[in-house]
Amino acid sequence: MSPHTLVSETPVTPATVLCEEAINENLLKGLPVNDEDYAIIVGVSHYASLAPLHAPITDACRLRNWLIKADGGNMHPKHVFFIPSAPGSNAPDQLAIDKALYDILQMAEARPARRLYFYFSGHGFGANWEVNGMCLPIWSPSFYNAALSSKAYLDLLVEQDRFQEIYFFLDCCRDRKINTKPLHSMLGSPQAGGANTMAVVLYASEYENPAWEGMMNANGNLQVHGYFSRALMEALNGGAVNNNGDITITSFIDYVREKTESYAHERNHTQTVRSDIRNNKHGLNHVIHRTGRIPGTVLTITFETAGDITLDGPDLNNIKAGPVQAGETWLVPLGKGYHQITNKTTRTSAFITIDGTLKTMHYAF
Amino acid sequence: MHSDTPSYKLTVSAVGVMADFAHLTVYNGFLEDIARGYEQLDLSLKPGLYSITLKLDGHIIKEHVRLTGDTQVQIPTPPVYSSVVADKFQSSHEYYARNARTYSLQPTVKNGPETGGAIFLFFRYTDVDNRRELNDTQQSLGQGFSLLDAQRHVLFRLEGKHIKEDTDAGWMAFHAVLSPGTYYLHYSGLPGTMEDDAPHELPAREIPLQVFRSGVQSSVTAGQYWQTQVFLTFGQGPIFPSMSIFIAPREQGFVNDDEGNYRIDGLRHKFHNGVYILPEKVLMEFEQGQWASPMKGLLAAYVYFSNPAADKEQLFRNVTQYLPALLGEDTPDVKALQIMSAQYYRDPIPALSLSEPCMFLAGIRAIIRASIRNPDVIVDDSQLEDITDKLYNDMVWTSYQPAPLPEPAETKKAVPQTRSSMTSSIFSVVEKIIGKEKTAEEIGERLLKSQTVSTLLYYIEKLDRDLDVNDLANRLQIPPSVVRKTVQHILKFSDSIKDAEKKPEQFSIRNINKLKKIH
Repeated sequence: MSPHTLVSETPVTPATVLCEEAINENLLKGLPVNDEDYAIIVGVSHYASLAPLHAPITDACRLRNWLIKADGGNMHPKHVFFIPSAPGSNAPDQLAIDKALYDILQMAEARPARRLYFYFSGHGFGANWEVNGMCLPIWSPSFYNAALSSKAYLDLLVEQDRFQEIYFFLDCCRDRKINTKPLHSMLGSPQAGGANTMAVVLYASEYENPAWEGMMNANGNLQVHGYFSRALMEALNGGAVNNNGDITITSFIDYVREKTESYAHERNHTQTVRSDIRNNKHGLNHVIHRTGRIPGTVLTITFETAGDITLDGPDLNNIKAGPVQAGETWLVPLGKGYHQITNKTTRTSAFITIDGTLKTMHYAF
Repeated sequence: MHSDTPSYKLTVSAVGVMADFAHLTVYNGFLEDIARGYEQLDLSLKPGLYSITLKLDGHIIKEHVRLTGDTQVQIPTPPVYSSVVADKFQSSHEYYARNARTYSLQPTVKNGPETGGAIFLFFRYTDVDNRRELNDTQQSLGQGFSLLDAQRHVLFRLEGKHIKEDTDAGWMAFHAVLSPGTYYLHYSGLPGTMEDDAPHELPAREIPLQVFRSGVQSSVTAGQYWQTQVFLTFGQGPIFPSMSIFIAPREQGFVNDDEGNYRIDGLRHKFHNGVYILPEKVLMEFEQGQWASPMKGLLAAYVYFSNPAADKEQLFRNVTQYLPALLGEDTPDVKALQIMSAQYYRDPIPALSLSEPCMFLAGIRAIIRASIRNPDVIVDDSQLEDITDKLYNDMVWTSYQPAPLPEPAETKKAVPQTRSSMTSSIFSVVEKIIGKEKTAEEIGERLLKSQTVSTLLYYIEKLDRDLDVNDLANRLQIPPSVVRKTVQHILKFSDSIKDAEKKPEQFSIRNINKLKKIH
């Protein structure tokens, strides 16, 4: 059976660039870091038999760097295990990933652990709706099961009860492959337990559906990203911030879902993020990351038609009103949320969504 | 505290077919998710801008609302496609629905028994245009299909006088009156073809179908015989995940505007995607003791016991107690649900055993899980045991890679018995895996193509501790008895090739020694 898990739009050489070392400024200054947090970040762009992917290493690198940066995850670099693939190599294999997990579990046993991030970007398949295969570089029709079982790994991590929170992000396809049995960790099979660990799981797509990567513009630079990973990074970089300056579970999931769908839709694809949450004793407003920044955008509105205009905010407060001529522009700073612009003369109206990720935006009305 | 800002009612509802399964989310003006649920949301909100998202069957519909007074928003559900040719589905057509109705009432197999239950199969394309595009030679949709009895003997091939079909419109019907029990719908597969410039192959598959006995213990169904109705859509070949199965009174046949069928299909679709929703209307029907549809009861119970967060304990204890009376307590799905229920409530696994597969994959998984601590749940050397390592996981129904159909007598005579003495000694134990390979190397390679054998050997090689059958069973998601048998097969094969010059590296002395130590 030919694998149908490669969904790359861009025929360029897979990422071979090294991920630049990230620095935690707080560590240099002797300030506190989140040394109770850990991460395994796996990016597999190179496959022995499958088509190369272009985004996984880049995306994995971005997440790694965010986790380490002081104004990001503020983690100790030694707690972030970055596991990229390399051209012409079958690395990483299961052992490499299990070894990283083992090291983390050892560290987490020595002192209290708060959080574990697990991220995988690469080829994948849906063995069934709850088991995703994360394909290792060696995967081929002859090594049909050379993929890690998302469920077995998640179950194993949760049942350890070693972490308070686990964030499990999978940016890979979930096209179904029948009669597959992705691999369990060599560290053991899940046992009873795990009632104390909250797990937030985000799959890049629904079961039986592909996850896509494509060329995207990031601050003027064209680069290939997974739509899901791009949304994930934007969410962490402030897109998912609520009006208190916090990223909560719900604001995070909503943002990633909405943006992934939107990126896919812009390119005539459908991709719907699937989330599952286990053991959430904190509620959906539990804060994942505090930024202290209130999101906003300076919007330039260009009027194509003259008329008497009103611009209302999320709670219907009037932000600006007055007559305009065709070609005239308004420059308005807006907070995150829905806004409604109405031309009372022509009786036309539109909703404008400010998601807080862009500093400036243009809108034609 | 008192607020001068008034609140208004916002009622958001999905209207149309499958509205029960339409997921609604309301966001406030600050993009915060403030309410979510199925079919209808009744909210009291401050004036402001709001956004509503409806999701159903892969469709996403978004609407904005400016709330300045009590407001009702009705969002029509998008078109829904299904294998069942019910009136309100976009993919149903009168030329299919009419024939499905006709032949669900009229057996296509002549000279069969007049009393008993029945199996009714209806295969079709999404529409006639699709048939013309995908099957321009008007091949019969029954091609490659057979119905087998519980011993896997061919009862009927879906061809000729046993079926009714219109190869131009693109449908096929099969209807046989049968005694209660387990049957198998066997599909022999489709060799590789090219689809979208990629090789496309449909592997062989077998699906257990149950004919349920009449509900003699149930006052509701006394005197009725059940008809098991199977609807399947074709593309380049049969699209098995689209399969819909219903159970209806045989005298009633298929009713193409039965509201209950939409709910069953919606439940199945959500269940397939791991969404465990039980619409209020279904729960209300159960609470009111309305048991007209056994499939709804089966499906709802499977959905319920798959959802760790469900909270209708008494209701579903009642459902699982009622189903044996309705469908027979020896029915594999009834037994599987008793096991699943025990696992759900953390009760001891009931002392029962199964030799035949149930119709729901979730039931098979529950049985396999139970077998790790209760090996007697699966009868040794039974058909059920045999399929546990060959399961396909792409639909809610049980299906698996089957053994080939028994060959006709004249073909059997023609098979040459030319295997070498070395390979003949192991042939009996690995015959289900290997084919026509002759040398040790060939047989070894073929053996390794078995997912169970290759994955087992991978674990044997990598796991660096004492190996435990139950741990391996858990990893491979198969019963411990199948792990033991697979290990025995590998050891026998390994022993028979110990003097061979070349053999696959997975059969190294180290691995074989580790296999021997498995306890």
